[in-house]
Amino acid sequence: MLADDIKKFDIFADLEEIEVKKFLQFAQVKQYKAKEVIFEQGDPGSGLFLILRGKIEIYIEPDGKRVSLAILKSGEFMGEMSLFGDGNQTRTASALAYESVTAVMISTLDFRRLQTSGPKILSKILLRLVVGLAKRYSTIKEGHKDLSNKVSELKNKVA
Amino acid sequence: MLVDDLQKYELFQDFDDLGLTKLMQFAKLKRFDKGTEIFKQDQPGAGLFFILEGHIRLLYSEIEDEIEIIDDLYDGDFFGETTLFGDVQDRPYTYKAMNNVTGIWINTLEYRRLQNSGPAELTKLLLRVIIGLANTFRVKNTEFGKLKKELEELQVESND
Repeated sequence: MLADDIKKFDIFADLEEIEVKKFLQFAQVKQYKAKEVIFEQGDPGSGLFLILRGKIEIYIEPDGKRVSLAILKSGEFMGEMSLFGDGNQTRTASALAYESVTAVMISTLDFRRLQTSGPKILSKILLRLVVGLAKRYSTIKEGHKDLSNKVSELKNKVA
Repeated sequence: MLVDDLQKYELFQDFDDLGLTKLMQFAKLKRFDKGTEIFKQDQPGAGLFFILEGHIRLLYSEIEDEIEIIDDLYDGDFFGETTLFGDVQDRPYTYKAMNNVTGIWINTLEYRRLQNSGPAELTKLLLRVIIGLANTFRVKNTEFGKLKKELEELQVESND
């Protein structure tokens, strides 16, 4: 994959071309067909995915009933939680290819190798991750607030 | 504050004495008394603030005397991250200390210096921030799923 192909994505926006090339030595390109399950809630975490093309649905199944959390599109990422902690992290939600998907994936092991051999590259990617996650967190917080209000209103109505 | 004192905070858990000393050459420890307006809405600012201890309320005012509470931030939360990419931005909100607040502040210029001369320390700091966010996500995702289910059940009940 050409460095130019991924340089256009926000998460790599701060990297020099040579840094993108170095990052790509640690990453793999993955392809998924529409409706293919990428990972399931509870699976061991294997790494970070950046979506290059296509859409991915993130969902959970509390009590067996499917609840969609988000549809991620080109330029967005997922699986970041598997990169951290003691290496025994499990997936907190499931991911399904909503349509045919091309993604770049860095495994937890390669991520740690990059931490040793390219900390500056990693620090640039991590800042973008922090900003992306903070935005996503803010959206979840808002959604949570709206949902809480709706539940309270309905509870009053039912009572 | 001594390096030993800082190590008690989760944010610095992965740092040894040397790494933390290096980090603190670029970051400033800040303390604010209850009631202090740390940053005011529409004033320019550039830098990242991490809350080590305390409660900060984000306030927004479009018309004088009409103040809206936007959010509450606590230990481990942070703000200002988007200012690290570019120019100085006007603060979108007023950041008010609701109790005594302790935090660390890295301005954009020092952040860039740290990125060049201490990328390993910066990586450790950012990883710890992401772990904090990841843990919060786990909790919020679970709560969100339960709330959605509760809402659906209530909708069925209300239609009956």
